[in-house]
Amino acid sequence: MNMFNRKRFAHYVKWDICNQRSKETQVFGILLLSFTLIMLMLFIDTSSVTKGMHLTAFLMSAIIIVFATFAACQSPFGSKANSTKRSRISQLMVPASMPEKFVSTYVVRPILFAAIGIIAFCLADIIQQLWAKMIGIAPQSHLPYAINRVREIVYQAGTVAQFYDKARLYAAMRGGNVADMHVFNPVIFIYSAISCLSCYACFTFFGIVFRRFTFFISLLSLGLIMVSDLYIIKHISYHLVPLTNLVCVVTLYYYAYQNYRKLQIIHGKFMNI
Amino acid sequence: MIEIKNLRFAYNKKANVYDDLNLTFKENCIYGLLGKNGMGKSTLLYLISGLLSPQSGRLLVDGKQPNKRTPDFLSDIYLVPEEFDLPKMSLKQFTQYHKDFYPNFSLEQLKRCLRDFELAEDLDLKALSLGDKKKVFMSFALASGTKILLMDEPTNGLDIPSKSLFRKVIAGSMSEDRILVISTHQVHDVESLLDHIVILDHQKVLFNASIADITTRYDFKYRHQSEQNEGVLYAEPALQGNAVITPHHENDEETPLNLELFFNAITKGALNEHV
Repeated sequence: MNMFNRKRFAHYVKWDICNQRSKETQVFGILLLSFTLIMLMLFIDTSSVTKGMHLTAFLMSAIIIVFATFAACQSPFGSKANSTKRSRISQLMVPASMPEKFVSTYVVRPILFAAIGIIAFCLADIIQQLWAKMIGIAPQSHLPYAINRVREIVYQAGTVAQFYDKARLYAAMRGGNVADMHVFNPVIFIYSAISCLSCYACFTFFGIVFRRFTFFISLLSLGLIMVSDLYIIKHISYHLVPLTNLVCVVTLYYYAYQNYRKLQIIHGKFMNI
Repeated sequence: MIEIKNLRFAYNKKANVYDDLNLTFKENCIYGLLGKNGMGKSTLLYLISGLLSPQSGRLLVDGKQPNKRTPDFLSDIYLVPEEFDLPKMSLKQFTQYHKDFYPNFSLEQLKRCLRDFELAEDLDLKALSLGDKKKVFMSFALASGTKILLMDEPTNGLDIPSKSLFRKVIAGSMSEDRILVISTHQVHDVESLLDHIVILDHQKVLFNASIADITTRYDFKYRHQSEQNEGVLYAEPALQGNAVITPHHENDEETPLNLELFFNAITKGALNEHV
């Protein structure tokens, strides 16, 4: 029995996206409005547009981080709209295998939400440039600032030791003058990716296991992981952090899938076990 | 075929929904699953469709274990729950996204069912009433061509003319290899459709027989209140006098089944000696 058929998987993803269309539109609308409003706030004080750009980029980063964690929690069992018995029945009864449903829900959907965020950002940027033209100010795009912010996170340190030096990270986040920050180190890139993945894995696992207060339970657990990471950095060795994070990712995703595979439609329970 | 042997299921540790349940559902038959509230009618449908897992015992649908939820099992079963969500899209889009999951899906059958339900083909699902949504969902379920079709309270939300249309649509959509299980409280809506009745009561099957079997054993009549109740196995006051169940005699003509009366007689234990 082929448990992962590419054609069927593509078909399921299409079904999943179309089924959630109203929610995706809602998220897109909220993000577009938030980004546009933040960008337009710049024009209140037109004398310091460039300075404001840094502030906007910082706010955008904050929104994207909060949004990304929330998007990761948008699992069928993690959000209110999808935690109903009806939606669970309609999802579980679709003739696709459980691995296909799992990947579509917990891998494809967060990527889709991230893409929605990027599109909303670009559109808001176009709107603010049009607005600038209308009020007679030279239009300036926010995109280079936003891209630079992402670059600063990925290229933030030349060595692994610098990467774990929090003072440097904060300086980079504030857009300060850190000369040796823009050196690409693939090891650091992998370490960063593992840290991001452990965040997603945490939300995925707790999103499946708990039916209520999922977002807060996941945040709390994420906090615990971060505290343990800091403890390892301070008392053992920062080289252990990516390893423990990787173990965390594999374990959480494995048990998330095991739990998802056995899900039943018993209602009124706090946990899906 | 659906085979259930020694099945035990419980939502919690305190009480079993089923204990040692044994049942068989065969092809080319419409089953009526009856029982009082909380006796596990919907639970049985969820177990058959793999949405719940039994604690012990055997449940096989065409030799497959439902709770494995394999794609080939799911493409041969369709569940129409009592309450369901339809996405906000047109019927055409809904059909386009769903039909490829069901290898035996028939567009002609869908059109025929919609026509029989007096619905147009170019519907917008978000603009439909609850009853019309149910008709669309049932039409899709029937057109999916799945071997097993499970319906939970299918006539809830349908108006009076739609209930007779429902019977017409179901009767016209049955095929030789199909098993249809209807769980309902609205026995009047489906009694003319059913081939077989299963009554569930307190963790077990209280009654399990074909309609033909019942009508060859019992007569269902109305008697004036002044008439003597000789030979009456069970009676209930009705507008026409008393609705009664009497034993069927060989030379008597068979009477149509009064399912509500029969259900009450069975659940009250009035036919215990005869069942």
